[in-house]
Amino acid sequence: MSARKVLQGNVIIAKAALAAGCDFFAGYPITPSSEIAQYMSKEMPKLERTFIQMEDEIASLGACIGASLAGRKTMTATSGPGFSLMQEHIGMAVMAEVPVVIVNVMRGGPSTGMPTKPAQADMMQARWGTHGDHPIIALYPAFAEEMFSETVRAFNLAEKYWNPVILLSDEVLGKAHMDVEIPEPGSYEVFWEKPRQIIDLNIYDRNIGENPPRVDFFHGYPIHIDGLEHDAHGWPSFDAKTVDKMQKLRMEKIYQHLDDIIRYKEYFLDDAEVLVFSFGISARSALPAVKAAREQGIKAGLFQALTVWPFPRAALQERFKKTKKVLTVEMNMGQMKYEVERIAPPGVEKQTLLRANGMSFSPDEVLNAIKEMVR
Amino acid sequence: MKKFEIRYGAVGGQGIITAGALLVDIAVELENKFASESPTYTAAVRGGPTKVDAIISDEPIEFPHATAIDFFLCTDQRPYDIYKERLKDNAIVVVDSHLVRELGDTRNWTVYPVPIINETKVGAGNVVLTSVVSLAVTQKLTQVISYDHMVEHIRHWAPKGTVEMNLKAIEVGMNLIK
Amino acid sequence: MRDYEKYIRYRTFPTPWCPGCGDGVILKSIAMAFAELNLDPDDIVVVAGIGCSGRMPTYFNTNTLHTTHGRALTFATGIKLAKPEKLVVVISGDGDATAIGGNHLIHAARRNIGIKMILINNGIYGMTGGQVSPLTPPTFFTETTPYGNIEPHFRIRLLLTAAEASFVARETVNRLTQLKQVIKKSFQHKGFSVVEVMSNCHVNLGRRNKMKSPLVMTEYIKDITMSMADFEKLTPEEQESKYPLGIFVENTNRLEYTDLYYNHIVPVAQGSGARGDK
Repeated sequence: MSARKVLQGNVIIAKAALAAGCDFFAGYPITPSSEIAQYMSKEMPKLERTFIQMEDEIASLGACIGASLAGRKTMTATSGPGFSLMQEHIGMAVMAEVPVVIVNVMRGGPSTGMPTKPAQADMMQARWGTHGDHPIIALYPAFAEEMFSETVRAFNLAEKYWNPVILLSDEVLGKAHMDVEIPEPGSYEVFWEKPRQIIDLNIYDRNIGENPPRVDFFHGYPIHIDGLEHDAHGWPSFDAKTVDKMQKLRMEKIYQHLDDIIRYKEYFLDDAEVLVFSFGISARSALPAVKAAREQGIKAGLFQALTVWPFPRAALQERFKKTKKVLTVEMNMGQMKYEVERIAPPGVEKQTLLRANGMSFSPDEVLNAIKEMVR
Repeated sequence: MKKFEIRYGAVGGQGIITAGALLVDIAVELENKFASESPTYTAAVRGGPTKVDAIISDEPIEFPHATAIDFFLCTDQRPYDIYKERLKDNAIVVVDSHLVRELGDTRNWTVYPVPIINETKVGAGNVVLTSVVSLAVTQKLTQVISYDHMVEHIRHWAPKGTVEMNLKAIEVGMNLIK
Repeated sequence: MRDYEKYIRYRTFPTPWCPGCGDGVILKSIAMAFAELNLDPDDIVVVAGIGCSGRMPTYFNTNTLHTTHGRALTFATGIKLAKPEKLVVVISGDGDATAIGGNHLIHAARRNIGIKMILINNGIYGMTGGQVSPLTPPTFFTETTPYGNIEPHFRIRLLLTAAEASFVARETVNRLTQLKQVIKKSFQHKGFSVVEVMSNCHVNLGRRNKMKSPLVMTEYIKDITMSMADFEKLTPEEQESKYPLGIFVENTNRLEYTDLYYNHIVPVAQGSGARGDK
């Protein structure tokens, strides 16, 4: 007997969310993410936790933010069109500093696009989809075990930094059934700051760079939470100096903790001549390609981003000190390649393997692209 | 066996998605192998052509989709025409002899035309057992899972009151291939 | 300090409302209803969307949440599900509740989730400067209907009744005592409740329709509103521009959503075992 089981990717995410203590899920059906909601609808009431199917994705994220402010650990799950609808409330969660995990199982777009085909075309939307300057954390697992661990981490980061965390997946990872070992409870960290007793109204008051403490309703002192720009009390304020400070508080709580937030995996990079930069399903095309290249005597390596936002800039820059060729592999018409281009120093050859036609890259295609670069 | 890729093709309702799920469950849970499985879904499973790709390997699976298929079992002409892509030159191909008439270029495949659907109805008594019949055919021709593990898993998996029917279906499958 | 004042957050005053605005009356009547029910301010959360009404939570000394345009009910749904024992009040204007938030409104009603909604109907988008709303009466002039409104207005009473709302009432800012009573009654109702409050926006609606002063506008509200008994005496044509007052729907038989979920679904799920869990 094996400790491993075959589970659908969407189900792995749902199980991990439960393991991370998610006790509120609101969602709206959309292919290819619906199994997450279906699993939650079945399991949540068994645990006296809450599931609700809302009237749309805007409402789903609204309900999650409301529940989060009332002390729950919340998640919603969607795909492209629903993710577009959620942008309004991603901004609200950023502004009010509310933890929530938003799963986007990416499918072909734009618009209705290709509901049953994979894509990685919401990478920039995950970063910049909601209006206004804002910090965001986006994670993107590729392998089955990572789908568990990164989901747990998404909750931990949301709770720790009081910010929405976007958990990216794609149609292949969501719909594929994969063997996975679900770790025992206790073998992974679950972050949960107990709501503090509120003794004054300065709920957002802290030093720049500090993690905010969790503040909920119903903990002693009635508080105000606002989507308007606000002061340390949460009360509306457009005073330029106050706004300046609040913007910095929100940004720097993320940017001064990059070491904690950014995670990536490096395969065969120490002596690599070609660095393949990829994530999600494309990283799973790239890993066997890199191994095959090695078998053929080509020094290729893979940099797999697990945290895609904030971009793992420092780690890549470190690699570019030695490796002078980079191949970005992504299932879109070119999105994260711009991030690579902007940090790669002059003298690094930058190539891409891009496609957005609903077909994931076969390992052979990635191998051929690597070979092109060393010819 | 390092890595073995299996594809089942059918029209919706013939039970091949269950066959794929059973196959990978046995490989992973009873044989400690690594596996991945990707079925078609939504509208396709309601009467249209459907397929499920399963990969079984001794090593962790990196790319989860089939790229070079070793074994293809198909019970209808339409899915046969669509899904015979990506088969290896030396693939084993099992087709329903009544429902797949036009084989086209069979390259270096070893083809077994057998009356899967008909024998399932007659021998096992219910067409939904095509799943278990197909699983048994796969076991017999590929040994990708063991016969004993297959029987053990089916006994455990079969809903109450249907164990005998399902074991009968295994027998039908084993006898389809002489 | 009067009883209701402990529910007012004076520190955040002044309000952004124009002199003579009905919102102040509504703020007070809600606070009075809190006081009469002797609620702990920390057991209350007041949620609002965008607009003049959206700013109202800021002035309640309870837990308060100012959200996005039209979506207050969605946040309130999350809060109510998380903490069913708390009093969750939503304040919404007519544009907020029936245009951008119209979908959330009918679904909250259909679910019968125990949120208490105060729907302030001043027939206009006030904060954005006087544009037509779904509750602006036909023929009225607004910034975006410079030649007169050609759309009919929603009849909230009928819309919500059709959406299976279990408590539907209407009052006006002219009648503080009745307004407070109806609001209090809605707070005691178990399911979803809507109290529509006819209010005056003399600045944005009145000014463009020959009702420049608060007094003229409140007189107008008095003219168009009446008891249900009087309303029923009117011909259908006469009824079109009039608004009956009172409690129209009060259904105590329907179970409230969080009650159904936690007391019916949870036990069923827990009794069902782990069927099908792979």
